[in-house]
Amino acid sequence: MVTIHNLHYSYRRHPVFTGLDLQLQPGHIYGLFGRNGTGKSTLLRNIAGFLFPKQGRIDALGFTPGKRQPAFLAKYFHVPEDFQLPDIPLSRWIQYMAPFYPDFNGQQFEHYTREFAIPTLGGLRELSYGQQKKVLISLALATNAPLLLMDEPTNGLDIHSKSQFRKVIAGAIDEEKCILISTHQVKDLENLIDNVTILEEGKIAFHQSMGRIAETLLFKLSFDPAEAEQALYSESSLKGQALLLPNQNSEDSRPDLEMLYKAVLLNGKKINALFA
Amino acid sequence: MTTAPTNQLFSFSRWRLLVAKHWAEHSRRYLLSLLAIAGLYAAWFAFMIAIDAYAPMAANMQFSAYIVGLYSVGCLYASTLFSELSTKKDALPWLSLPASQLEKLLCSLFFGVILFYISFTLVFYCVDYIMVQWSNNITYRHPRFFPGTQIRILPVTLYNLFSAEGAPVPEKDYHLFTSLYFAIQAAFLLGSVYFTRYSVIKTAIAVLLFVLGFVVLQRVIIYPLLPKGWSNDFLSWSKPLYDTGPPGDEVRLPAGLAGGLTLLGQFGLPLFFWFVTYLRLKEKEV
Repeated sequence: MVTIHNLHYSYRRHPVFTGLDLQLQPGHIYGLFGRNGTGKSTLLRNIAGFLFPKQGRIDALGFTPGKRQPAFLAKYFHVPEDFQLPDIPLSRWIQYMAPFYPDFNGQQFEHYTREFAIPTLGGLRELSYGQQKKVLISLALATNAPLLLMDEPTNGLDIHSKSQFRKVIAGAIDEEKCILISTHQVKDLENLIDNVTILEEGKIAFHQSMGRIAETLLFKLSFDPAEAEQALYSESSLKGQALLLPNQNSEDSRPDLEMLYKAVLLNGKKINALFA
Repeated sequence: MTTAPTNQLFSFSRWRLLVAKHWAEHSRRYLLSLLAIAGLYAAWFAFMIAIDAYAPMAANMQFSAYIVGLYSVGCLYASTLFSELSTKKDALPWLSLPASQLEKLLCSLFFGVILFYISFTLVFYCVDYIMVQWSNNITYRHPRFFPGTQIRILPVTLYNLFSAEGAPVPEKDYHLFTSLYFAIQAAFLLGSVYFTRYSVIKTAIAVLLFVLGFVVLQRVIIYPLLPKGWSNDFLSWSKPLYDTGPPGDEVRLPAGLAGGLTLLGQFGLPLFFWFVTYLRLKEKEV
């Protein structure tokens, strides 16, 4: 669905990507993690065609995003971190936005706004930032665009809305859709994403499915110092040492995304070698 | 489910959707702005009627009020047409809206050039007509004479944009100011895409620099090339009439060429600026 080959991008003299390769397949929800300034938003904006690669090639849904062809624009929806909705009633805005998306479904939109408990009467600017974001997410999902790009979608959402977000996104994914969610709130996407992508130093430092992660790595709590010494990553917790170990005996464990993220940043080579 | 148009460069149905969306989002602001323009014109004309006892609504005054308003409001509005592109939070939804850059440009031109020009002119005439009637009413009821004469001040007529009767010579002969407006406004439109911040100021400076360059070109290059005492009128060169000389002291470009260059200046410049705006829109990165 999305193929990125040898992507180079820089802001003036500051290089962001130096030969990034990535493939995104339909039917998956990808979580894109990385430190501040590693280029998560820049990657999304390259895929959306807001930025043009300095070198390399991006193919999204069979289009070159930088050409900004209407047929491509109608097939993806980008939910930016920061946005501004017009000062008109919600129903009126949807009335004028929907015809641009051939697969827009009004009933779905109503369903999502109900799920998010968004007040549908009144002007868009009367809504809080979090509510406006939920409006945008509802529209994004109701367009039925095969590719959804979301930049920090949980920023500004309250605790209940975050769990609603996970529920709604999980219900919206199907075999033809691909959702790429960029965030630094790793915990917000737990139990939602099925692929983890970590950006570091202009390249993809880690890109694996949750299934493979669970197969290959073992997340456990332990008080055993010998076990801690073998760990790829460890950190102290109230319940003991939280360890990330190679899953040599095919044990079951629940991947801890935050721990995995920190482990990849610290010990990426060793971890990736286990997946080879 | 609707069927998407296949043409990726221009589709009338997509453009119509853009126009409808633009109107839905901006109509209230536009109508309020037109009311404000009407109010400003009414206040200005009322002020002129109050302070000028002789010809407060003379054709040249109507003309200058129209032109000053058209240039200032038109250029200011043009520089906001692509203001979405100056901030990321507005630019991303604008760029990702499923329509081509040409359709987006043509939508802006429809509102910023055609609809603005028509509605501005209509608003001007609505106020102008009322104020001319009011001024003439005063002239009828309180007949006045020019100072030291028995010449009665006559009622004024509504300024005619097409005949430009009463306007300065370049306007009357070539509609210079009215047609130049479209070129200047197109430059401000380009400026709104080209400059991310302070586009009005930066474009105004660029236009002024261009005019300054043109004046310098006239003074430094064209004038020294002309025989002594000759004047330069852009497309013709002659000895001024008060200079005694044979009547043949004038050089003109062939009428067809002069007409063609005038048309190019009047209509080619806006087209050129719109085309460059289109290219800038296509390569705009946010």
